Amino acid sequence: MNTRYVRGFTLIELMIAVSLGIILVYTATSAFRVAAQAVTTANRMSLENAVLRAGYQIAHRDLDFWTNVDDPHNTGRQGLRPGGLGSGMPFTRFSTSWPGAVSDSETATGHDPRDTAWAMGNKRVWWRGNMAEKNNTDLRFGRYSLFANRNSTLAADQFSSVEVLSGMAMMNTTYGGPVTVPHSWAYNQISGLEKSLGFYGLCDYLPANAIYSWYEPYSGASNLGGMPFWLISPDWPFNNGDGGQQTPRGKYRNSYQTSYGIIDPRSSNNPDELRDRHRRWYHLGYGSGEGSHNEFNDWSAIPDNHLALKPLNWPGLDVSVQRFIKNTRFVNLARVTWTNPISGQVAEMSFTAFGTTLRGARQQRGATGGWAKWDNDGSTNDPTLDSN
Amino acid sequence: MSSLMSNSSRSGTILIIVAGISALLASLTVTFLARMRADAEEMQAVVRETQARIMLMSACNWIQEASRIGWEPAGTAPTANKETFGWIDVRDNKLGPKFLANNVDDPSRFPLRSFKRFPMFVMERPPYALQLTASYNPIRTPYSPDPVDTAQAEFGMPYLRYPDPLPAVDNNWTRSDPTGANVNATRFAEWERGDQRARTTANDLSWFRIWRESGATFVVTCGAGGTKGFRSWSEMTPDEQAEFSNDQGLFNSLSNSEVRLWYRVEWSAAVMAMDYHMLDHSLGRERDHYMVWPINASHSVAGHEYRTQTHARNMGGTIRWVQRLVSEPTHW
Repeated sequence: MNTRYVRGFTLIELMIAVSLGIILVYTATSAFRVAAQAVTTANRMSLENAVLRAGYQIAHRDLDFWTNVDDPHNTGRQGLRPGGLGSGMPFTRFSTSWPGAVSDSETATGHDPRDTAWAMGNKRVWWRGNMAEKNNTDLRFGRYSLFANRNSTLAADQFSSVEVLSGMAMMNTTYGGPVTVPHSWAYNQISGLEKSLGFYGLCDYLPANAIYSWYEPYSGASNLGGMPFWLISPDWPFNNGDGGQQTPRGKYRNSYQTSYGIIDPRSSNNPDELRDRHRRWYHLGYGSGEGSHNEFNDWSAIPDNHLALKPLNWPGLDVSVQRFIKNTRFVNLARVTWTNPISGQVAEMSFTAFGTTLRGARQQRGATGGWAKWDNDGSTNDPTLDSN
Repeated sequence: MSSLMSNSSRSGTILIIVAGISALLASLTVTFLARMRADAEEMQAVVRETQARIMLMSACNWIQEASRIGWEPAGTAPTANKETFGWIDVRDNKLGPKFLANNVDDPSRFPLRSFKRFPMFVMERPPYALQLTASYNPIRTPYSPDPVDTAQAEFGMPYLRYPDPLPAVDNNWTRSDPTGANVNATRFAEWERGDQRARTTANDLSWFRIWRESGATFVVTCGAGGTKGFRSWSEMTPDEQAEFSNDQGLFNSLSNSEVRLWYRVEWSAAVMAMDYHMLDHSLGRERDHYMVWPINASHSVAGHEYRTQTHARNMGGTIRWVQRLVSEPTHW
């Protein structure tokens, strides 16, 4: 009888083998997990980077096309277009808010888009008036409104009756009228822009050296010279009163510690309220409080959620572009915000950029909706929001 | 035999495990690298768009500056005519830029409905390049590289003993001979011309082109890519084609991969508003003085920064409006 010995493992061999196996498997598993985690982290960061890049490009698209406040193809996002004659908002068509003829005449009243019309060598552009025309003037330096006025003719009852140079020889206190005013184009342009677009639009369209005031027929709403109070008095929402002055100003003094801004149409469903918000200054300079900043930001920097239907493990992405004037400068402030889906941590990248101005944005938009075709091949281009 | 079988199966098992783990790690690595590569490529597109947008600023700066300066041919001695008065002349409202004595419409320097091209790559050495020495005349102290005792007159004084700056092309000036006796203009033309080849280390060349649409309105094309602003192969001269190794395919490939943005802008001679200011208000009293601060007033009172250069913008005019074009125009 043959006895066969089958070679097997001893218990010790088996224990050593199992132990080594466990160590081997554990090491391999750990290595795999580390590698997998690294890849997962890399993927998540890559996704965050992709979202950040997308936000950056969306912000630049908004900067150049202003679609965050006016979408030419979405009538639900055209809240800055309402407004009739003399009461427009930044995207109201001139044909409804400021119709008027265009010519080289001083009496032309419509928006003149030609670069030659606003060239500084064109005498029609020059602001003629008294830079020291105060709120309570007694006209001791003369009636400039005779020389330059929104009205090209003035009747006798359109002047204030005042004793000029009190205690001295009386100057003309009344005029036989009608008086023909030689210069009225520039004043009509300034007032037309304000009435059509609001304060930000007024600053956007006027050249850098503009004086923000004009003369018109004397009334209870003007000083004795015919200069509207709201342009020179700090009690009104246009003039911030910086320096305690009650005189016409340029853009710098008007925006020295305050700002005019583009208000997001989503900040109110009431067009009248939106209109008012485009006709006031916002206290954003030194001495301003948190409340005024919050108010302005709430109305002018409403973010768009660009990943509303995202997978749960994707970061959130919000983009806003805010536009305002501060110390003469036009500021386009973009904020790209992304939210970590795991930790909820929010990070923001903000930057300012140079791009399409309000006038450029209005010229991009067709008068009857959509984008306007523009080409320089000699063909006729589409009418735009600026067409009158 | 069975022992051999057993050993080989163990080896095989280990081989399979090791190979499997290696393959797994390799695939993870490849995935990781592929993701990073894709990220880098996407980032490249963002960088190019950013570079193109920077070109908008460069183009506007050029429009502003060229409204007033820069029209003499290189090498021409400065004359009274070196200043111009705007794209639409502020003196007579006619086409410019034109010099002092020229009082008729003169679009010759930049004819209407024509273009100029501005490659903005980093040159090996730009025209009129200066040395990058930070300070030729450091204030001397006992501890400076050129020490001086505190008792000496030169201690702590900002003397401008040596010429500053110096041209990047050597003109024979040496510190050991600060009188400049050996300075010569032998290489002046070389310094003036520069070495305008693109640096091989420069990535993503950017450029802009300006089409003069009307007197003060321009179409600006902003680009980031390798075409140096050439629009087509046929637009180039033979010498310019040689810059692309006479390879039209290469040019087309560069053209297809670059970013181009089109804008319309209008220049204005206006630079600032002359704000009326109460002089006495600055001194703490509430009285009027009829004073308009001059442009670039430098005699400002400390703390009244609005009277300094931050208030005035420049002497080259301003850009009144900017419009990104929705589609490519026919002429640019």
